Amino acid sequence: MSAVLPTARPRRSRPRGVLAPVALLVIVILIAFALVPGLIAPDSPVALNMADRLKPPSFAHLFGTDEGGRDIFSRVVFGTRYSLGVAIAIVFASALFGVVYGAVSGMARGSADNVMMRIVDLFFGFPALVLALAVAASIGRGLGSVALSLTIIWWPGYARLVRGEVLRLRERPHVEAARALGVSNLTILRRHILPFVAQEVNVRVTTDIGYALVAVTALSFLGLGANSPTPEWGLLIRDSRPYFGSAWWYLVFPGTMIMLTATAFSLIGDSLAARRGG
Amino acid sequence: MVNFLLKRFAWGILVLLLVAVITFFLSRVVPADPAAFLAGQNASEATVQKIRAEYGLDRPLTEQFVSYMVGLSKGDLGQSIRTRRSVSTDLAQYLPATLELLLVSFTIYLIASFSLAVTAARHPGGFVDGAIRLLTMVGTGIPVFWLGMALQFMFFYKLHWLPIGARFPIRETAPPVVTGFLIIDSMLAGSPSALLGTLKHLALPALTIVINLLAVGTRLSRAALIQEQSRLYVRTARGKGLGPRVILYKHVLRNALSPILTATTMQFGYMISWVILVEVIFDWPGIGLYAYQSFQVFDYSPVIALAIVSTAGFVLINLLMDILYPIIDPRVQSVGS
Repeated sequence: MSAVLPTARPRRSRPRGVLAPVALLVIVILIAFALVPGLIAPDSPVALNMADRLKPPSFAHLFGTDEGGRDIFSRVVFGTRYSLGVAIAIVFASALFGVVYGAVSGMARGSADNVMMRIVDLFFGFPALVLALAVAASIGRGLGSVALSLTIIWWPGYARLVRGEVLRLRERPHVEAARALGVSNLTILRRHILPFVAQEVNVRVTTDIGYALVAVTALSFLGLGANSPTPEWGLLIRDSRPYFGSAWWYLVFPGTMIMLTATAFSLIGDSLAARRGG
Repeated sequence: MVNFLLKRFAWGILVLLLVAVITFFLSRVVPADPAAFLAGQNASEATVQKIRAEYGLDRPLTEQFVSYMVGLSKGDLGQSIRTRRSVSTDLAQYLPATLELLLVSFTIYLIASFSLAVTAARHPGGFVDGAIRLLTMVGTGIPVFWLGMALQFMFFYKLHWLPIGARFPIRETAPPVVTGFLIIDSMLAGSPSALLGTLKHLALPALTIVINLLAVGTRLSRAALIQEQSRLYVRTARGKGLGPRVILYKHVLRNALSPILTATTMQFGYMISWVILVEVIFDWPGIGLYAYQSFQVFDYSPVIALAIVSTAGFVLINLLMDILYPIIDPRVQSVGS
């Protein structure tokens, strides 16, 4: 479809040939971490072993050990499920809600659309972290409240994106033809509009997983998310604070994992966008 | 135009009201009991009751809400249970620290981002351009709290160049408070050593914020400039024989300014959220740390106050942008009226 339409969007920076496969590999490894951590991690993520307290990286402990003598590599592997899992849940929930909301708003047009978009604007004015503090205060600390508060601030982005796409697509000839044939609004939306919107949403979801991961770990770092001894990545960094002057590995490896993961998702998102738009 | 601004202003007030309502109710449905916390572990039930009455925590929720909103309209943000002072007094003490950090970081960011984007746009595909891409790619994935700690590790533990946190050297006496901005206050006191101490403490938190902002912002500015350069008027200008400098500074830059400005406004919004993290890591005595420490002991008024103050800040900046747009880009005027 892009061959027919003149495109007025900026050229996206295309990832070089090697980077996309590497990013894909990273994601495959992460999925393995999340699905079968027990097969990959050499040690238990929670069992204490005081004899090996705060040991630097070695062959026995790739990422070193923490203040309880636990293997940090094992903790990171087991933590994938919490950190990345919650990030993915947030983005999917936001996308689902945002797509439905945006589609309804775009199809309704007129004053209903206006009111619905005003509500979306309201959410954009909200300070994200402060809302998360308030949510965590009310329903208690934990990954559940992190997921809830981040979903509350994340969905409006999808609503706005989808509504714009729906407004644009509904004027296209194929939709007009369907309307002239008497196809119902719902069917038009489902069969003739949403499949096109899906491409945009896919790109956004992929990139957003990385950002959501950074947000989740930030809230855990502040002590709003998982509780010790859950090996959640942000919490690992929080726990490393008293020791990081002497045990650099405790800070470096969990942080590098967050960075690698976020970068991998944003690279894949970029290459999806390039394939679709370029 | 005036009509438009009035509308935007009313909208801003509505956003603020909503934030106040939501945060109030969210923070009062908490299972934890702040009165019990304040009374201490061995306090009798009577003491807890007394504290509860003192802070109005025994009244029905709706009643608490009404009195809160009435107070709010008078600029009263409630009492902090932790510091035992009014939140407005606390904010007045802590806000300058936050503002100083935000303003310094944002100014450095603006200058750096602007020069980087212009250089990248002048030589697309060149060294600076490549560096920006790399920075963007990795930078957006760096958690701000992790970056802060990494900088502390480097500049405090390893190099011993900069202090790990706080606003001012502990062993020295701070300059007398005039504005609350330590940079200005130490200049007013005429003390170079105080100024140096202030700047040293400011360096790492500001650097953390600047790096994170650069990662996102420079990409947007660069994209706006490069997109603008592919327009037909640029080709015409080139055809007329204008030099690349003249085209960039006189034509492209002016046209690209409003998308850059929009992106910058959004950035300021993110920064308000990040400042809590940065203040916690660097033990920076601003409103973010204040709200965070209060939150830890179930003292909600400061958290709500932070929500209201930061939203107000964001609303104000948006309003300022609405005024600035037509000045920078006269084409916008038709939309406004």
